[in-house]
Amino acid sequence: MANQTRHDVVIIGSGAGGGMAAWALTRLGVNCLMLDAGPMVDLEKDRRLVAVHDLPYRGFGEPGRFPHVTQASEFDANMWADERENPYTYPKDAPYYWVRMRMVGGKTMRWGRASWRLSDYEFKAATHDGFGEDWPVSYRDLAPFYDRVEPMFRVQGRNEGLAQLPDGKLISDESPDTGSVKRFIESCRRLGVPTTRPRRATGTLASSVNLLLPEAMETGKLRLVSNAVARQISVDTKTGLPDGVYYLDRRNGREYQVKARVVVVAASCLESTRLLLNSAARQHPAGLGNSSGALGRYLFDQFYVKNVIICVVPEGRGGGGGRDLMGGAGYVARFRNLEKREKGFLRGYTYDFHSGSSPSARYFPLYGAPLLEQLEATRGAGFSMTTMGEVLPRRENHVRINRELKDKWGIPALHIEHRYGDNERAMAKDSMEMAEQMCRGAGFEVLARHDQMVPPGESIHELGTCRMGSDAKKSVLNGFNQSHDCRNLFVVDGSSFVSGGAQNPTLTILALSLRASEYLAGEMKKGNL
Amino acid sequence: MTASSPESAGSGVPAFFTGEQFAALQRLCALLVPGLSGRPGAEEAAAAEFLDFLAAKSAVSRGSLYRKGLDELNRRAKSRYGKSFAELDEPQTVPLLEPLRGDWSAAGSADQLTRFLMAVKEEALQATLNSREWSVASGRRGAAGLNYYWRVLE
Repeated sequence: MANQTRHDVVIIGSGAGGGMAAWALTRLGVNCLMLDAGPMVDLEKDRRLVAVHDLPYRGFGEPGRFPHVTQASEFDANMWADERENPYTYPKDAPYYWVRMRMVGGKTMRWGRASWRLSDYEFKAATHDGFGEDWPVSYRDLAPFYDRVEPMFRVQGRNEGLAQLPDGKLISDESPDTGSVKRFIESCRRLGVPTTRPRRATGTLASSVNLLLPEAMETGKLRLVSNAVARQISVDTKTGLPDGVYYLDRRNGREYQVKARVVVVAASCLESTRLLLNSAARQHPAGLGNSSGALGRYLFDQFYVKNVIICVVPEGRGGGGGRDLMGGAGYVARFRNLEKREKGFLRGYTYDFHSGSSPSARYFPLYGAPLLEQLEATRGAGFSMTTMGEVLPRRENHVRINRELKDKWGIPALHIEHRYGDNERAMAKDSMEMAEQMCRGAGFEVLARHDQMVPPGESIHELGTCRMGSDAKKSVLNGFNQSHDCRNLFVVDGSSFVSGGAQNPTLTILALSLRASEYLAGEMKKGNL
Repeated sequence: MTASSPESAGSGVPAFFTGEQFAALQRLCALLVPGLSGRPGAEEAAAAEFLDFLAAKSAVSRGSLYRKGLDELNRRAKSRYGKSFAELDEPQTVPLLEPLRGDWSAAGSADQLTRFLMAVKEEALQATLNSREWSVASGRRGAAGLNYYWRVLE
């Protein structure tokens, strides 16, 4: 009966949140069992270089395979969760693009690596502008954990001393700016808009698979189980507390159960909430840990306006200027609604900008030889920006279980309702107008601009639905990502966010998970769990 | 020992469009993406044949957009010149392709023919740039794009 072991902790998910939990807990002597729904990837054997013309669909991808995963290419299609095996629903008038990865390492196998800290403009947003709720933690609480996570992920960037974008423990990026980037930064400076370098995790791979799990394994305290699809968290009928997990072998559907003193959920934002909703029990009729009714509520993300503006740097046409002029990238930090309410919307937005791209054919009102000549002339002379805006967490944006639909393993699927509102639309429009001012001020030729946000979910920054809070009647988790209802249940991914700012969330997920896991280990040591 | 892909050895057999639709698509692709400076155009890259295959494999919406667009081009060609689109001289096609001279908008045009022409413009270009012929003409295997292909993980 070797498999009747009761583990200290079972961790569901091996991405940023789960990987960090395993790293932190095992170093503190806690025995962990980690379940991941996907396979283990062998980077040597599971990929090979292929020319696009040798792909079955010339790089267009198999039609209909990923109607909601615009990021999937024909090269990496096998990395993304198959939508036919993992269905979900949404209202006809409100498409939701749920982008998932099912493999050990989760989305850290493919993330954009942007690594920004949140600030008290986010943690104390409600105090600042009166909307929503404050987080139960402040920047001061989380800063020491950001300090530790950034070196682990070898984050490179530049500290600017901005209150809305706190400095970090970074590998300093001292490379020179190109001429086009200098002109853009100067244009922003004249408008009072702060800019900085990209801030990204570096290295060939920056995943939990190479940065977190190996060290956890070396402790001898971690056992990793792949292809284990968590179906339900089991509950002790006497205490009402979680006592393990039912899971299915992804390959053949056979069901198993593991027992544990503590359950750490890190299956990714919406999968975690789906699991908790699917774990309803006599003591938890509305879903595990959902006495507040907040589980599934307050879904938000960060809206993108992809290529909000597309420009050509005139001097870069025809290859002019070379590498001194073109190339490079950067980030525009939030500048709206910081010190005073200055616009017809709450909160703010940021941009990524890139120099040296090649504008797409769609932006030229031409065809035939004139089009091809324009494409050649502007190759490498493009300058583009993408808006990333804060989405307000609203109660009506939610997920719930769709009892009529099950996935390939018979697990009830999610129904997702998320609509952007007037605040997001006003912000997107403002971002388009400001982008044009910035680019024209730099002397760039504007080819196209727009304010059309991508559908909710497409940014892959889904957040909320299992939020933290000081008030157990309005939130699911306390300030240590611990369930208000079940002291031995922790949720350490993006579902725990109260608000999200416009900054990419992974660094904050890592810091929160590290903090929660060390608290958890301390509570176990004290005998409280 | 290496083996070649099926596409490298034979010609794609059109299977989706009618003969008249396909002839119009071939002509349209050649007009939108001509060979230039020693590089192959849509004709040499068999872009129309590939788009026929893609439409056959796609959801109804793509095939419908293409079929209606090609029928409309043929209708306008016959109404204006008394012959099909494929039979027009290049100057005769100019007024029919005028929608492509409009500015791009994120929402896309409300006009069905404009949406169709914009789609063909992008897809014929991509089918050409991603073709084996483009790579061969460039003299580099990866000229049309080279990347890691992730195998099925089981």
